[in-house]
Amino acid sequence: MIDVTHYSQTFGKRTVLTDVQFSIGRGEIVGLIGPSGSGKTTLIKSLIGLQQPTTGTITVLGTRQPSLAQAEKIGYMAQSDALYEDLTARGNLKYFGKLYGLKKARLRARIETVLEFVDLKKDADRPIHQFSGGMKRRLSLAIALIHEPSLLLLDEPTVGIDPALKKTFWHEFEQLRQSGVTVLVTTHVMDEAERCDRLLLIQHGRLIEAGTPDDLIQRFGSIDEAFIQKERV
Amino acid sequence: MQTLTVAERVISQIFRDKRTIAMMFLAPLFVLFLLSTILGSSSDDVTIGTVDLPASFQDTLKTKTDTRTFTDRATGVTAMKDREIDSLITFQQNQPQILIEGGDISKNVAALQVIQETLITIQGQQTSAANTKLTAAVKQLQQQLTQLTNQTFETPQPVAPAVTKPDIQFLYGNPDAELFDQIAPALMGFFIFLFVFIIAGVSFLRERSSGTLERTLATPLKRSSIVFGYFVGFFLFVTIQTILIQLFIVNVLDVTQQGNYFLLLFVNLLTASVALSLGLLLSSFSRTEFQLIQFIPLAIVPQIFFSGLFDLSDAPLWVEVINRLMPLTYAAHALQNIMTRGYGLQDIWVDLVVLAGFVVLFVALNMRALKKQRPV
Repeated sequence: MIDVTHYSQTFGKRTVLTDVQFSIGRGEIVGLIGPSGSGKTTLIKSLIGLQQPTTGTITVLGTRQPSLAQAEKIGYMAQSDALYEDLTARGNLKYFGKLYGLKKARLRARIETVLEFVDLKKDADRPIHQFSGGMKRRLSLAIALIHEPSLLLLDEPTVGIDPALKKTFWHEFEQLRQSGVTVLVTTHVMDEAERCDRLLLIQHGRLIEAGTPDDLIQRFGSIDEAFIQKERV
Repeated sequence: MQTLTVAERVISQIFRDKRTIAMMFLAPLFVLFLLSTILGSSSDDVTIGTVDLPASFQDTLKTKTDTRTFTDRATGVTAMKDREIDSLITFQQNQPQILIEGGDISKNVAALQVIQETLITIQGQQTSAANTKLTAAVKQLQQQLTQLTNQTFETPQPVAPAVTKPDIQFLYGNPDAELFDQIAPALMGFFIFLFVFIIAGVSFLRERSSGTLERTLATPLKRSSIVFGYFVGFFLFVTIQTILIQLFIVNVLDVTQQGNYFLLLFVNLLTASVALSLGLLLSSFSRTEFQLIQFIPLAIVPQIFFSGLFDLSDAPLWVEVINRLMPLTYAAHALQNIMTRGYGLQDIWVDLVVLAGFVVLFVALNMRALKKQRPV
């Protein structure tokens, strides 16, 4: 699904990512773990194709990024809720659905499906500025799912939401995995990390470790300990 | 297709924001109304004080303006200092001496004009009085000559004074035109420009700062579709706004409008398009609304100086260069020529081509600026 080789990203003189290399297969939930400022968001943006890699290659679903065509197969949930506050939940879904090229009947069906999925059906016609933070996160997830993407890139999807909603989100990610969707999720919360199939540990713009949660815990004692030990080296 | 999706979203967003609609539609009208009232309430009526004027002068002056008689010059000057009179005329050895208040340029000019008119009238009266006397004297001489010589003499009839009251006509406009009539076309262009710039710029900036622009760019949408989508979406409101402003200026404020109504509308819409594309472009160079607003004194307000409100015939070269770089220069030039001079498309097409060029330039630059947000 994703192949990243020798990828580095610099902005002016600032190097954000250095020689990142990993690949992700179909139907995995992969956690991209690292402290804030470690380069997680930059990596996600490059995977969608919002920036040109400085060096190295990024291949997503068989096509080298950045490319416009791949956007159709990727679902993206940004760190901030990028929603049109004046529009209703349904209006937001309709707009993004159309941009992904969904046609009338399918668009209408998909809107209902994702609204149901994130449990926003009864609030669908309220404008977003009346929504709570958690509702906005749910709608952002719904938008990421509107075009049935085979790859989901989720940038801190659970930041600032209550534990119950977090549980629901993870339950939904697992449901999606079962239907064959690949999920790449960034977080810096460790209990979320343990729910992933595989983890990529990123620090100061470098990929420092990769492996299943059990594997990492066995080798370092805990995921936090992995970061601390790597920091010393 | 994607362009229309973006346009539709922009439209429904604006429709839900009632205050923005009100600001777009009513604010320019209010400002224009205020300005027209203020400029229309200045008066050119002057009061002239007199001291010991010859009766003929006094009577003639009285027919032209308000006068007040003073017993001596000192009381007249006091009255002038109290702003009761605008000018004071005294006579010394048969020569009029005129004192002007000097603090209000338009009243100075008006007072001088009244006094000059009076002088001309009196001169005319004196000439014709002298003529009459002369004619009578010649007649008497003729009669005496006839009695003496029994011969009749033909004498030429006296010629009427060569210069009489001039017949004044206006090539364009009419004598009732006020200052507002002259500046209204340029102001119309300016206000359309200003309000479209602010609203388009702020909306696009909000899209940038809220992350929705980036989110939109994560879809397979072409960059050009975003810019054109904004253009189409806003154009609906801009058209309504422009029609409102034009109707208001021409029909309610009753500004002289000699040209084609639809040509005028076309120029206005083109002006709005320049503002729209410039607003979208400059929002790319701002991080916050505050930064965008900072462009107004820099990029928008100076344009009003070059919009034909002031005569720049004697301006230095660098001012002329800036003048040529300002979109509003061309808009105001075209609008003024249509409204006051009744020009048609064949007279103003150069302005329109330049304005269209600005739109193309700004849109192209904007698409380049968006490349920073997504390389493909």
